[in-house]
Amino acid sequence: MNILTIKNLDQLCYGAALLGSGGGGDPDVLKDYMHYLLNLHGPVKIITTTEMELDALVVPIALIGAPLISIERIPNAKMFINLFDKIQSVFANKKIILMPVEIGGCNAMTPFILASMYSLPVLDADLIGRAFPKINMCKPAIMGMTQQTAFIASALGEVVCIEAETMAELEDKARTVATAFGCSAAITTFIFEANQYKNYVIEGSISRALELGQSSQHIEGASIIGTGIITDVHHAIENGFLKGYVKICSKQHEFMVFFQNEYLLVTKSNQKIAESPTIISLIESRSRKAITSESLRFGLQVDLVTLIPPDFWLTPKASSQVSLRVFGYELNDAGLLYV
Amino acid sequence: MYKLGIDVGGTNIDFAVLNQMDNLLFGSKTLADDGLSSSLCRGIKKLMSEYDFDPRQVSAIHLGTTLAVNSLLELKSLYKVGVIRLASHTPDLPPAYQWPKKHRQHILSGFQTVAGGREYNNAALSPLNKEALLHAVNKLIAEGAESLAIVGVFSPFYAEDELEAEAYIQAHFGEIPLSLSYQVGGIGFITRENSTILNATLKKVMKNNFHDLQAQLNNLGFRCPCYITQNDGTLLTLNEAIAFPVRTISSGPTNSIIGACHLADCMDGIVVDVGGTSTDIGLIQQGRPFYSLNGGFVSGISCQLLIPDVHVLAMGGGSIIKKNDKTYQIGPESVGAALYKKCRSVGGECLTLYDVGQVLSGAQQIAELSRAEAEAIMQTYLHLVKNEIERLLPDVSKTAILLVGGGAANIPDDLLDQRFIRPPHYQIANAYGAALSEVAGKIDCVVQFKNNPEEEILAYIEQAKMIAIKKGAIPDSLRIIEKKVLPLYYMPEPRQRVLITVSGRM
Repeated sequence: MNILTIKNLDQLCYGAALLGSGGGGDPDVLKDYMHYLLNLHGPVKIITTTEMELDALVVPIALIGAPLISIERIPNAKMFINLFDKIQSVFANKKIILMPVEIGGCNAMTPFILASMYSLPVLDADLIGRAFPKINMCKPAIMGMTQQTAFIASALGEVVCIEAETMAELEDKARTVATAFGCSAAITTFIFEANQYKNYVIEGSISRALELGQSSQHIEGASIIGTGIITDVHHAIENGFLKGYVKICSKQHEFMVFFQNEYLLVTKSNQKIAESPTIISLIESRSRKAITSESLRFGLQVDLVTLIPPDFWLTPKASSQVSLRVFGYELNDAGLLYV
Repeated sequence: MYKLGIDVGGTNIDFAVLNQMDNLLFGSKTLADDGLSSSLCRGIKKLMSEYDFDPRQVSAIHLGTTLAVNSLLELKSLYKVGVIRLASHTPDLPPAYQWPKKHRQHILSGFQTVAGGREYNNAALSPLNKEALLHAVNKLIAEGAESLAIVGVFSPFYAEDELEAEAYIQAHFGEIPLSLSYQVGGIGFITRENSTILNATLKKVMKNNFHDLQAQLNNLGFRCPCYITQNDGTLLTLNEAIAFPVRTISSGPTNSIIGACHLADCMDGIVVDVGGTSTDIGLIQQGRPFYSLNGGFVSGISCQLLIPDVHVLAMGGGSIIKKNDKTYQIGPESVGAALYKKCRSVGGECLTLYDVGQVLSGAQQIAELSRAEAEAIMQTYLHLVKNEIERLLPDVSKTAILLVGGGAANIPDDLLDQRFIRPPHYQIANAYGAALSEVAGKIDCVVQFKNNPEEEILAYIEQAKMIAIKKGAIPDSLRIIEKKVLPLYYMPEPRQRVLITVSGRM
């Protein structure tokens, strides 16, 4: 059994930032608050699937909304407490195990907020194994699950339950509710009985983040595919997502990194060298900070780094659901066509 | 007509006199050993006697100072601050949670949460509760608050609640200093709160030093306004500097980097500024300081301030040297402004880096310091400087290193490799940089673009230019130094934060 303490909190944040592939929001936003809670309530248990009680309920937790809005709220647990109260009343007398919906970005922290306040364990797993922008990119959806229930809670006490027939409908309604809740809300979906875990989870996500976060100088298992200075950043919003590209120049090469919240595609002198579902990170050379796509800035010196995604994403069925085509990019022989 | 640049440091006050073309005519240094105003007077009288300098011929004074950052480092001349949060509920995370303990204890006297604040779309979280506000202020003052920081949720977009609180507190409590967060920082509650608390605490040192500065300058014969340089290399009026001291917190490194670049006519490289107590090492990018992603820390406190990425070695010309067996420890203690009273070269007690320089140049002989030893000490110092430089940039084999600052005179040329450049007037680079400070026009707003974003942005740039021209900028010299359009995404009706800064010469 592993634990989260104020000692390895930085590790979790750094590893989660790397696994975010540029998206998921900066975990550092919740770090001070998490530090405060761990100081107050003590360490949180991180358990493996073999340590689960099989009749317990696993509740995946995430923030939904705009990261910029989250950083303006004074850090507090209200929305998570409201969400938890609802879950406890719907699933009375159930033992609860928490889990992040996605390990990449600030959502890696969210289950730990509740876990520390209520002394609950967190499962060393998640539904994505990195960060992706949509609910239908969670493992259970890719495995074919359609009908789903979600609960969304605001900081002011409202809780909404959404029952949807399709993942697209769930996504739409959840975003609408989150916007009405001030663009920042707590969500749980894909709640499942512990014995069903094989269909739901990507195991070992939290320990992977902790391992990755051990050293920012020598990141375990990372390949450096380029290094250079950011010479151009192009941001635009389409359908509520941050889209764009960033140009990185070294003496010999020009790299382009395309993103839609997450970094999805890297080209080197117009040749594709990395693509989703491979995890792509930009690390500022000076601070070694993993740069999220919203904080990209002209003039930063960066290392372009890739990490292999969890095995689940390497199967043809899964990778086709998060391919460049799904995100609207088309490549041709001559180079790149940006759709 | 002339322009006068002044740099008020911990050890020296430096002066740079520029003509209308921004060429440096002459400069001078004076020790800052008996308070700002008398040292300033002495320095200006020295300029008048040594050169044909007439204060009536000066069109503007640009003063850069490390007063604010020094009082934070030393925890001196600071107000006790009470924090008022305007929010919908009692939040868990208290103010200053991640501050270094001694800063939190020294600066923060207490905090209160009062119902108020907004949502992202300007919906009130709850209306400002004035009765609770009155109660909160009474309580904070009873706990020892001398200055208040008011921080409302979403105030950078919607400042109404903070302004209403300000008016109400002024009506009931009179003169207590207030700092409103929307005037200090942007979105990001905790970091904006940190900046606001620092602003509130620093009002004391600014007020003490600057409240009668203009009158004193007028007495010396000046007929022009005195401006204070701010973090981004542009100017504040004296009253603005007293109201917003955090905006001056990193102006020292900014001025020395800009000054060094222009003196050396070199727009990319590294600046090594050797002062009396510290050596500041910073990266230049296109003639301006470089700002790293994890920058914005002041004394270990995360702020929303433009802080150049500068590495500080606690060693300078006045640093006291101690010998341990065969190695030498340089600093961190410094004789500071008492250099010419306490150093060995004038018969004082303390062996300083200045004395080492004196021995190396042959100007002095000191019994217990042989030339070989002096060289070993200077090599130790240079080795540490080069280590810092390598931490700043991975490959510095061909990078220009600009050596400036009063303490740089101690380093003999024959110990430096060819990467080092000592620009003309390097000792007063900082005062020259201050004199080069420009006037800025800023726009920071949240908009929803209609048909043609490009055109709308151009309109904002024009607006910013008009603001700068109104403040005295020469229209032809205006250029854009910041243009950011930050999307606030995941929203059904996307909005963007538009940040424009243009700046130009006076």
